Amino acid sequence: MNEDIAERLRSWLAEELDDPAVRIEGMRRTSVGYSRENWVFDACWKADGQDRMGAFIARRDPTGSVLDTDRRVEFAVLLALSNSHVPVPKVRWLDAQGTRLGRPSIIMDLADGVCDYLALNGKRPAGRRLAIAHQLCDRLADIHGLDWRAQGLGAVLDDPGPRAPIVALDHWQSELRRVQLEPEPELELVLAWLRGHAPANPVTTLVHGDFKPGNVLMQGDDVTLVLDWETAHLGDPLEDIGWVTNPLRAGEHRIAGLWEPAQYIERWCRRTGFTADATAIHWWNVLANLKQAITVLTGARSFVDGRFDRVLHSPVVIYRLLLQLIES
Amino acid sequence: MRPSVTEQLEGLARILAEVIAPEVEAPYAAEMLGGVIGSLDSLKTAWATVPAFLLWDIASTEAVLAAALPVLAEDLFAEISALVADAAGDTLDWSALEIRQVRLRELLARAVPAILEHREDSNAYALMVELFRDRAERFPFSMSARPPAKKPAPTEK
Repeated sequence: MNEDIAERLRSWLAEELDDPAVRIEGMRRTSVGYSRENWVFDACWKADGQDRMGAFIARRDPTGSVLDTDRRVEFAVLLALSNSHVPVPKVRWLDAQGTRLGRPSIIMDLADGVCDYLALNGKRPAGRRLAIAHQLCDRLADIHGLDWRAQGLGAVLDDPGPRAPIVALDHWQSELRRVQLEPEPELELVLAWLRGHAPANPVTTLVHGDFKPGNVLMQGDDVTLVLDWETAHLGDPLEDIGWVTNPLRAGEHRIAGLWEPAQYIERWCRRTGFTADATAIHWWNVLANLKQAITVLTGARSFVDGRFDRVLHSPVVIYRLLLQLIES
Repeated sequence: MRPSVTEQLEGLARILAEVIAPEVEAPYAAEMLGGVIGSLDSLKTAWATVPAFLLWDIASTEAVLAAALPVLAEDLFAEISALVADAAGDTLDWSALEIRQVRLRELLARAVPAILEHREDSNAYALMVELFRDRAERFPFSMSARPPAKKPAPTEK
């Protein structure tokens, strides 16, 4: 398997780097991320008579996962952000048709740093963790403050305008219909509640869609890159705020007593200049958990179809939280 | 019937953990193998509780649907009445239980909008929410099985 991918990668890079003798070294598949297949490797090639070496990561669509997204969009977003103040990985090459590695893939530079999904609740002293939390909040605010039209993202992503919450709800409802293995009356209740309480969206921004400590790269205590742009889209910035203040993911996003949703929202509002309506954030909290539940159901569907290597069961723990949220 | 189903699942997980896992070097394969072992452990604990859960789920869903009947449209009313009147067959037949459970949950999913609309003038909504909460507590499986904690390497005698 790895040998086959290595040869395919070598052949692809030979063309892109214009060196038929390019070598791939140290290739290994990483299991980081549930939604893409990732391989990291070094490439050695000659350019202008000089020996060159680079570390890369290839991300390929899986046959099945917890998320179905489009590599073309991810590549275009990363390219558009490459000259912005939002720090993103450098993308190199796109195979949208899947002719190179068998399925759509992207190759990016492998950047130094570590992903630490528990950076806010690990072994660092509280003060350092709080400083990291501030950086995370600021990076998210920077994403929302980006002039997406000037960056050319309007040509890549659809602007849902004031209907962003309904557009997001429609998208996730259609995802549910696509993947559900059995009736899910709990989610029918949640869908009906969301549709009956949808807020209007006052401002369209770039939305990351899965912003969390595990989706940034860190060097020491510094947040250096924002990763995993596969769910990026235009919409209501409160969608991301609803995601990072989701009680289900408190262990990743909060520091008890120091960095709670109120502090996050206050700092985010100050940095962006936006206001944050509490009722709207609550709505997005509910949608965040609907997304989480459907993501699990997508994994369960992929497992049953023989396209995903992990067993996932009905996300009843999320259903319980969803009930609490819509009843509160 | 020995080894029992539980003993077989336990034994298969042990073989994978003690015989296969030490030979697997590729990180991805090793991680997936840990997940498989965790899932077998979860099955070992949960499988015997599945029939009781299905029976409870069927009875509870039927109760919610019965309470909702007065607020439902005619076609849904008729479908639910017909299914509830057709008593469950052999309660030891897991497949039949699963089919009935899915059919009832499908009807409940269709009934949700009417139940929600009449939450103030029917007790069906309160019963449905109670069912959903109880169901989350009783569900036999956790969302994602965790691989077991690694044991220290065995020492040679």
